[in-house]
Amino acid sequence: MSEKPTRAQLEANRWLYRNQDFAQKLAQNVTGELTRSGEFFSEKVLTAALKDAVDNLTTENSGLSAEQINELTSDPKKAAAVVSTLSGLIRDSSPSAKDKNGNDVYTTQEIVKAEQDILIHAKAMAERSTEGQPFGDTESIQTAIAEVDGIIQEGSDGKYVMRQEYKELFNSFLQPSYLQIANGPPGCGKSTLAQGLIYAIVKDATEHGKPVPNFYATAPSAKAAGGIVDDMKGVSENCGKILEKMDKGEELVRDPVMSAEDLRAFSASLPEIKGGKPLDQMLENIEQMKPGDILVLDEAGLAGAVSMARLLKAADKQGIRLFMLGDNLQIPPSMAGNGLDELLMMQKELGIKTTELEIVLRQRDKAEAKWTLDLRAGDPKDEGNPEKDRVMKALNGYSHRYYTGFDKNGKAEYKDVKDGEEIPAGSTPGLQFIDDPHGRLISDYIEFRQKYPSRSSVVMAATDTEAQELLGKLRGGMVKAGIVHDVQSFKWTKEDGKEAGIEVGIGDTMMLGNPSELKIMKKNSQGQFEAAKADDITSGDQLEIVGYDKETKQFTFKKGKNEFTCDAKAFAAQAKHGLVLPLYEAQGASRDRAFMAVSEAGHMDKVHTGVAFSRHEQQMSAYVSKQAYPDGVVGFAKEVREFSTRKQLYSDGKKMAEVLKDPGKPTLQSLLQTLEIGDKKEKIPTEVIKQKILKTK
Amino acid sequence: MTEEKRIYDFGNYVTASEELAEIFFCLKKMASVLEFSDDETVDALVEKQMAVSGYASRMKSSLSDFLERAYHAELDQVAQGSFAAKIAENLNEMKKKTFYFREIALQLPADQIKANLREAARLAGGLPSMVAALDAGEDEVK
Repeated sequence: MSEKPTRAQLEANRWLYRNQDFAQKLAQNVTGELTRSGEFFSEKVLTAALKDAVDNLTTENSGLSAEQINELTSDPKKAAAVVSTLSGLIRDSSPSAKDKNGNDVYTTQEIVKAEQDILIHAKAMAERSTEGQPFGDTESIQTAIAEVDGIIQEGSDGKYVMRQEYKELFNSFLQPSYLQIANGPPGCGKSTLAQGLIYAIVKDATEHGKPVPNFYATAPSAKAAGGIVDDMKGVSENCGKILEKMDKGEELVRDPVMSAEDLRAFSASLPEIKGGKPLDQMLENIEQMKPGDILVLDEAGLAGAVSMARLLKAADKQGIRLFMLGDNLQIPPSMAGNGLDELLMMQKELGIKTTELEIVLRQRDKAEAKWTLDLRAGDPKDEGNPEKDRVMKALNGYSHRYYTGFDKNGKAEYKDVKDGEEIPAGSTPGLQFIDDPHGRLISDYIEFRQKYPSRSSVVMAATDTEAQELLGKLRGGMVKAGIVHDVQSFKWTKEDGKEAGIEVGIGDTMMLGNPSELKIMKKNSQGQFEAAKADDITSGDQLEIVGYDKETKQFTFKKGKNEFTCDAKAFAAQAKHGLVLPLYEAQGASRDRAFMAVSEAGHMDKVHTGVAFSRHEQQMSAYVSKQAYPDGVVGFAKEVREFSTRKQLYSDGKKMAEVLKDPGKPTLQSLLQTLEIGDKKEKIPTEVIKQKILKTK
Repeated sequence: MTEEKRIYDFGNYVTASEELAEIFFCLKKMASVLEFSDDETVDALVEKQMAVSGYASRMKSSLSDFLERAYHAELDQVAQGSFAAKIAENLNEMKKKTFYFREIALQLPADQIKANLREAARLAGGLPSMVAALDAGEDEVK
């Protein structure tokens, strides 16, 4: 026989019974918060979060009336009983699993459903026949990509060569399938795979009289979405460059794979690359895509389970061919779940075709390319084992490497200094532990800009706060040194009536908030300016101010090699200084030299270090606070071996597999309706009945 | 047989307490959701704000577990001015800034959500040293 409920309990039950919509909304929001900060929660955490929510309820943050809130919170005993009862009901209605100590942990149906959808639709896509859709002769694709794309450049002779192992990866990635995944470290040539994909499909279509499908590209963040579209456009741009050389009769680096006539026809068949919007925005309009269309998802590791499920469901339903590029060991999704991890973990069971990229092309120096892989492979259990500890090898490598500049061919010059050897004068180590990392970085950066104005670079800081702090100091130094000059002050009144302003000078690096609102002109190959396309400039792009026309009052600025103009005042009104990037924004950047500052707050781990030490092509310069890591490389390596920005998801994946087997549980709504509310069955208030009728109608 | 005690190492902070390690873990993971770029949609910002609110509750629950185990004390009864009270105050403030029902948060201007996230980042910045002090026993909790 069950115990008779106490008076407070009965009151709580009655409140919950009468306010079922409110209770469900509260439950939905609290469990939503908990699954956005981890996939699972314990009952204790759930109760604490419900209590926090009740304590903080206001009309402004909940949309509830003051009376409704007051009815719940005016009696602390009743509120506590409501929290405790509701916590139990959520527990009984939520999918569950066991944590590492064997305790029950819970998640939401939304996450379980998303994870199930990912598996169901990925399997369906993997099983779907491509109906004789080999993408063409992969050997010629490899040669052509090597020909048209400077990324696959090896050695100092400037010859385009494709490594054997990269050819094998191409073969793997271009196998016919509706779902392909390429997973690998930064700088391993994932974007080049996407270019190869365009080449292969278009060549197959033109040679066999098939229609050329539409190509779309997206990524979870706006910056990465813009980046992959730019990369894929590279095929068309490079074809144009080769044709120009052919027309002028200039020497090509190797025998062309196609005659000028065929290449012209091929180039004319290349489709426009659509998309360029972040994944969630793209999903809003995905129904416009047709069966057989190609969608490339870059930075797939940043997609949460819910977004990934929506994507796979739509792709499966509409017959879209999906190619994912990502790195499950880079910055994880900020949302709950990790679709890419789940797909990689279940690839055999699902029959998905995946290509693991274990080579690095970005770092020109072979040792540095290997160090990128070493940092990625770091494992805490290797600490103290000199044979296996790859993180120590990589970090020691950078801390003993002293860069002295660039040779006449533009290649970085360095000396690997052994203990006791003399350090070359005026050199900079790849990794140094010092008292004033910002000060040293600023003086080195200014010297670099003065000495090598045409060299590209990126400046990074571990966190957003540190990036802001460093930016202020660095820009001050650049103005003093004359690298930033002709500074102008722009002031305006915001919509809320407040004054705002910004200083912009020639030499500044800026980012725009909403470039599509501006009239931006782009310089074409004939040297004339024409209206820029919507995706030429996106809000995450770094733009360098290179000139100001006093007559037209326009800024001239550069993004990469392209030049643009825009009204200076309009530009300034939505611009911010963007020279120093926090690590999460730097993901995707590739420059000659990378500068990286880590203050006394530390904040490095495997993910952050992986991004920081893989942005450079030629030279790495990391300035790390000695206060954060008093024992230098040893302490730094300890953090670098660990995932601290996220827990490894394999354990969560296993838990999720258990959840998937969990038999269905009752809904919270049905449990609320069975609450014991006393001898007399309380009538549901008329208002609630009215609302239910309206909902049914 | 002696029970081996696990040491949690967070670089600058080392603790043997599983509960305080969980707080450090939350702080590390939260750092990635406290970051946002200029072009992020309100939807994405709301997701982050909800995550921060979730982290605040998770950390408070861990703090409560720690106090219960180490001091047999309830979170509501810790001495004012103690590190434990300061941490709780900090987390309450974080919760106050970031707790919204989702449908209401979606109506907020992006700038306000960004300001909320910045404030949460400022509050989070003060936590590691306080947690370390609590762990070091530099506190009269009761």
